[in-house]
Amino acid sequence: MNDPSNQLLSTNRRHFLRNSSAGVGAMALASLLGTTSNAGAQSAKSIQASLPHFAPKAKRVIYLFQSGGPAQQDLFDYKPLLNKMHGENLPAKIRGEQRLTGMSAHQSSLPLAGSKYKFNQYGESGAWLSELLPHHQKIVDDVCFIRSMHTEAINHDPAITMFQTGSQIAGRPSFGSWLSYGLGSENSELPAFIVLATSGKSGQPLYSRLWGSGFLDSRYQGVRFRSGKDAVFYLSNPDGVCQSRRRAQLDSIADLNRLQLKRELDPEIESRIAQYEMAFSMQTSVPEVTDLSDEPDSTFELYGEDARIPGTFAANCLMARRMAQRDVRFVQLYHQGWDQHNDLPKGITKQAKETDQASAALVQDLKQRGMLDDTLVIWGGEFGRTSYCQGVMTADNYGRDHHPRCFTSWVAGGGVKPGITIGKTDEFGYNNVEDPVHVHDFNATMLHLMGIDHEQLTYKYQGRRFRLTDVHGEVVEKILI
Amino acid sequence: MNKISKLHQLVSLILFTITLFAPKICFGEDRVDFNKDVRPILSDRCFLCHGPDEETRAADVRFDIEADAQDSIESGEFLDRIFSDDPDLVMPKPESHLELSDQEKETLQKWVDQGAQYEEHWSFVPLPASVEVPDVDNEDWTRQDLDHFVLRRLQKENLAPSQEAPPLRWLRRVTFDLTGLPPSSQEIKTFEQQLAVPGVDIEAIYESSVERLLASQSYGQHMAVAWLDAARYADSYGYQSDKLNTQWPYRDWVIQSFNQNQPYDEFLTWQLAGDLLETPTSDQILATAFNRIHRLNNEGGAVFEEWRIENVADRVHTYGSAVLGLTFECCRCHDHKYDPISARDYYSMSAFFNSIDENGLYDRTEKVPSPTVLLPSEEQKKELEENRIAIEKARGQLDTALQSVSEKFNAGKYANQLNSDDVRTKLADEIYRVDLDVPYDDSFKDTFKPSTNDRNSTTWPDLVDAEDVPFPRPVITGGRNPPRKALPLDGERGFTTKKITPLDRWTPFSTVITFRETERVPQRSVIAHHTRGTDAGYNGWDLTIEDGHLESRMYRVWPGNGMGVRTIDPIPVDQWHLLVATYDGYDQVSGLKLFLDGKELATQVIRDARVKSANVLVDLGGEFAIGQRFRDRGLAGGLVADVRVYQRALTMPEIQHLTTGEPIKADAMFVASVIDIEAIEASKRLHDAVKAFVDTQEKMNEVPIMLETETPRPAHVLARGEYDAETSDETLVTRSTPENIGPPLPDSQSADRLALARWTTDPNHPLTARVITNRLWMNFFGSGLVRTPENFGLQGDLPTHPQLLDFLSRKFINDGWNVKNFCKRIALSATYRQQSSTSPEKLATDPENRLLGRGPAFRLSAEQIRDLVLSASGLLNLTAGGPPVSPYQPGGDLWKESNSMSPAYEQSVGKALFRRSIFSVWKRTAPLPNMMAFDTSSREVCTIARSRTNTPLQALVLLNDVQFIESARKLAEQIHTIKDQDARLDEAFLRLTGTHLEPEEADILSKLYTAELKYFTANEEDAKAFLAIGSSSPADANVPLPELAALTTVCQAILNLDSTVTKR
Repeated sequence: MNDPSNQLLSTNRRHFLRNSSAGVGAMALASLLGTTSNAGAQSAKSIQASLPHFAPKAKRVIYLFQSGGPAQQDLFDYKPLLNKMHGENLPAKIRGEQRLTGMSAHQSSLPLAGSKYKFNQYGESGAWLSELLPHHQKIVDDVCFIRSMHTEAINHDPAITMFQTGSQIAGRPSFGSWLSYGLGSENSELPAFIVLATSGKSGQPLYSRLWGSGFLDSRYQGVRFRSGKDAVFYLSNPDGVCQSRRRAQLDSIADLNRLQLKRELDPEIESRIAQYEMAFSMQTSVPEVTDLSDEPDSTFELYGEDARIPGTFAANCLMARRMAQRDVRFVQLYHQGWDQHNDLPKGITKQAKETDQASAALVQDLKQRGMLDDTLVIWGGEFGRTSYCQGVMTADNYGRDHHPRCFTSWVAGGGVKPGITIGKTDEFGYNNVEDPVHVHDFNATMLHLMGIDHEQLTYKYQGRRFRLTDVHGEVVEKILI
Repeated sequence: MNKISKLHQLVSLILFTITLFAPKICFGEDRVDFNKDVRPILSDRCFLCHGPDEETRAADVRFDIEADAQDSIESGEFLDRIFSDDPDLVMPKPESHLELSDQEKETLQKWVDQGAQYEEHWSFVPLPASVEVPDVDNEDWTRQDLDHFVLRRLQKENLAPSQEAPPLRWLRRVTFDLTGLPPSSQEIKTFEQQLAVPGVDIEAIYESSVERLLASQSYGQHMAVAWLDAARYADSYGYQSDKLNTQWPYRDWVIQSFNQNQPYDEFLTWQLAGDLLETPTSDQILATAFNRIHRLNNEGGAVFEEWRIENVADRVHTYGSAVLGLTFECCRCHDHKYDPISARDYYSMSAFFNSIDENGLYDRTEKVPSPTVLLPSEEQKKELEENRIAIEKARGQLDTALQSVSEKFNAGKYANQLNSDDVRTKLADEIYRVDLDVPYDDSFKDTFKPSTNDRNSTTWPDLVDAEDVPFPRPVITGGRNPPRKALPLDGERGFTTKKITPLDRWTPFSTVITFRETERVPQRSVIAHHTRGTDAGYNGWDLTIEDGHLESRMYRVWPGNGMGVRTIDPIPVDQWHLLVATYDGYDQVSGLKLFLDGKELATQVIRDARVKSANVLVDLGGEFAIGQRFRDRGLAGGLVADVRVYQRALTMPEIQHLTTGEPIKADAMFVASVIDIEAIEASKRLHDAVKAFVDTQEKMNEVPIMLETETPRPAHVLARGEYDAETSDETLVTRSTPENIGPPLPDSQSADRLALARWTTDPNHPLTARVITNRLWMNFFGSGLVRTPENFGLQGDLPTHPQLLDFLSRKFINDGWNVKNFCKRIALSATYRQQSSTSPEKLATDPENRLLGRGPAFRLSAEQIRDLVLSASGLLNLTAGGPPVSPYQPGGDLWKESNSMSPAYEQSVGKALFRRSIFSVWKRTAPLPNMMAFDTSSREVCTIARSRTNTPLQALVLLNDVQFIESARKLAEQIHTIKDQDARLDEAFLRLTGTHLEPEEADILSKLYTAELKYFTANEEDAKAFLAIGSSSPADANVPLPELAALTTVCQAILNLDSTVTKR
């Protein structure tokens, strides 16, 4: 017992077991060791100890981000007046003082563009949907449409950064990072925050800051999963190295690190040994979650045949469900390509086809498995699109510019009232007239559903307590069960 | 029990022990200390509503100023509220979630009982003129003055310092801390031999080692990293399409500055105001890139002013954090909640940084945002000078030729030539004409097409009658003579011509347009242009009208890099005009002329800057167009009757001919322009000379810098920080530094960035030296003496050793702001030389080593780890400076993967793969994943301290990244040449960990080797595959593959050890 490291190991087992919640994973473990200068009062441990602030409705989030800004008038927000006034100028009183982007600010006129698509009401809730989203018809009674979203940004980069980090300017932690920091992980073999993007898409870029941890420790940043051989970078053993040899090598590394621990008694070494074990188990757990071969045919009937093709939105939705089953806290999906400045009909038809079925399937699938109650599904983009046409309008073609003043997102599950629509826009689909929901309100509400008071999940940096909702945000009570 | 939970036990035990013993460090005695004990509570819990911010101040009570606080303290309300049980009365209010702990309440109670005295915040107190070195009991232990402060503090807590670390530990530490690299095995062996000489002066050997390291080029390459983090240096613009920038010469300047040991005050002065120094050198100007290397947006539709304000804000924030250790972000929208900086102070600071000729965005990599500096090589400098002389010569020759023409003309020598009808009625050098008299049909498609931008086609509205045009119509070819018509413009549609070569600084041209502006509008509208680019920035030549004023501009980046003229008076509205815009191709703004209805218009020069070609090939645009431009406002409401283009600046007689139809009344200029061969050739030679000059410029590095506009741009307090907030005389601010911080701005000179630099580097400034010495300290100890190096304000941590910080800062200044001397003092100190190993007691009493009772231990940075491994394997390529290189990147093309607008990632080849990490390309929106795994910052904004995490992804990188596998193989190849197996392993271990193998360790590695060898002997194909990883040449064919593979696995194992990746 002269070896102090043994002493450390043996004397206080009971104390530890009493105080550690069963689910604390290695990520959280690492954070217990807080090595940065900011450790201490605001370490993840103390934050996590105070959370949740109240009983959470949702345990996890699947966020289906539609990058580029889907046109609400062509998908969710039915505006017959636009068709009636097709080609007429947007009345000045409706436009108000709203600034326009440099792309349409120079236009000599702002002709209204009606939607080409037929709208109908569906389900018991009678929600409006355009013909572009036939599969959404099956979930209208499970989701809550928010037609009155709004934001300030008029350009993609600041707008998407605002949605995902609560600020237009880079440097703040992303939504998922805040959750990892605040709630830790429920899974010790997969990261708490995973990012998936549809592959082969072009359009508005995705930046690593969108899943970055800002000034929080980088351990809270999202881990990007990819389609293809290595779902996580550097996951596979090098050519010529088999798992048993790797195991032998890791054992040697661990033995040598233990010798070092004996000499140095630095808890960081202990943590490093643990991280190597975690890395080793990830080599099994990651392929296991990303390999869809154990899914029955019925799954692909639900999600669509696209789901068999790695990297599609459908495959990613299915992957997200598998991750949710393993209690991954936050799965962030991105689907680019909604930026229809011109040729909108062609672009939006393709986008809708790529996303409609799988988005609906995910909600149905989670519901069938009884997981929708504690899984929050979010669908939406960084802003909406204008009711007036950008560029030249022809009989069957039009485009729409960025529009921050109103747009539609939907949420489902996790304590959200199903089958409702809140918010209302004016007849022109240009301004909110009822229950406006700002990005900060939206994020405050999502945190609320996770059992977090958005004003209390804070991190002190540069002398200020930062939070996802900056100094704003009101929980949208209307959508809570 | 599995391994992870075993680990949990250890960790929890340590944490448990920490909590048990934590209170043992007692910072306070009975008397509470305002700065240490009280202000942190007041600031954190009270100032939000009762602090410097006037807007949110509640009940008109404030606690940041003693006089204002007294009423509530003396009346007892302060304590009553704090101790109140009534949720309506208790402070802080429950909804603020800032509840006070019992201990905090007690502290405040004590403070009030003891008289409630205030003190100035420590970091705002001027730096003392001198700081006394304290006496200590055990002088023998100390080696530097700084050790006295540390020892004294330890003794106060009845603690003893740790033993001195073994020499090799120190050598590894100091080599990493001064050069970012490990000591080579040769350096280690030399050091050991030196120390082994009996009776040797050990101190002298330590000192000479430090001096050797300080003198190496690697020193600057390491020290620059932290500054580049603070300066948010990167190789791409950030935002949206995130194109690459051209800023690497700034990075090289920072490295060189450290290597030359430039005094820190001068280092700052150059960066803040190098352009304002007397006859600044190219380096002094380059240094100002510090304020230009922030991110820039090029997103279509972005509002220029919004982003210009954003750029200025970034400069203020970066200056605040990197130089003063203060956060200015808060006071952009409102008075600071904690620190004495008002929103007015903020905008007064912003006024220093807002007066450069920028537009707020950039368009493409090639179009470096203005203002810029060209950085020619010596050869290019020479070439450019030769070009300049050639221009002068050609100009002289042209003047002579014109003089001669004038004399000959006056003498009537050209009478014969001028008699010809052709000369009198036909204009030479016409290259283009559209008369717009018949509707568009396909027969025109080879010359022009209706369009909304010059890539597409559209249809036109019907032509309108234009018989009332009072100017002669262009000669109709082919005998047609339809009624005269005009194209009505709607602001979107116009037409694109074909086959007109782009216009540039050396190309003379004239554009003749018969047009009518039916309605006056205040916005700029495009009449004609030959530009490329997008609404984020066009380049080329354009002719526009804004509120009746015509402008003719030729530019690469407007406004800072271009020339342009604007008519002084508005032109008459709603009448037909014959407009002629000419340029003579002689590279002077006076060569841009405008004529209306046969008369030259009086113009003013609006810009006159010319760097490189105005015709930059970018992916959009490139044709001459009328009445429209991509995402711009065309001439809505305008009528265009005809357009002609000439490859020459038309002369007055010709312009009058176009206006009246009368035959040309020749003058000398006309003769020189179209008749006299010598004058025509002299003109052509000048054009060629200008082209040669521009071509030489085009090859040069161009970097954005600070260059003050002639008159400062007004700065305003912007409500809520919004760029479009209302401004008035009330909101107007003048340049000044925060009223309550530091000395007053010297009023002996004009308030500009140079004055700001002088203020910043004033030897009595309370912050500048403290902030940088704290950060330099961090380089060695991992944490600063102030543990919030990014915040020295009221919400920041207090220094653990306040007198030491002041002592070091004062000494630093007295020493001439000498960074190398500062580093040397630390490297040789007893404090730094301590063992870093710890014990349960030490962890319990001082878990974070705040008292410095042991040496530093922390994981190396991403750069250090990669460079260490490359160095140990012999792969490291020490070539310094130049454009960034692109090391291995996993997956396909990560840059393009999520960003189709991004340039492609082009991995470097050969030795360029193995440069030091500081030279690796830094893409802000898609940084290198193996570096990010080890906590590099994305450099989107100023970063003062990186986090230092420990994650499974790090293990995966070190185990599976091609870079590290290849390095392990190269290391294996090298040690294989050593015959003795134990010596082999020792060499690998020495190279990676800086120490020799212990027998126990050697045993583990030998066993691993044996097992691996057995495996690879049985599976030689695996050995072959494993050894094929990486792009460097394979090993000597005589080395048996199984041996090499086994050795590689062993090297990889060593590479993954704590002893390798951690500095201890």
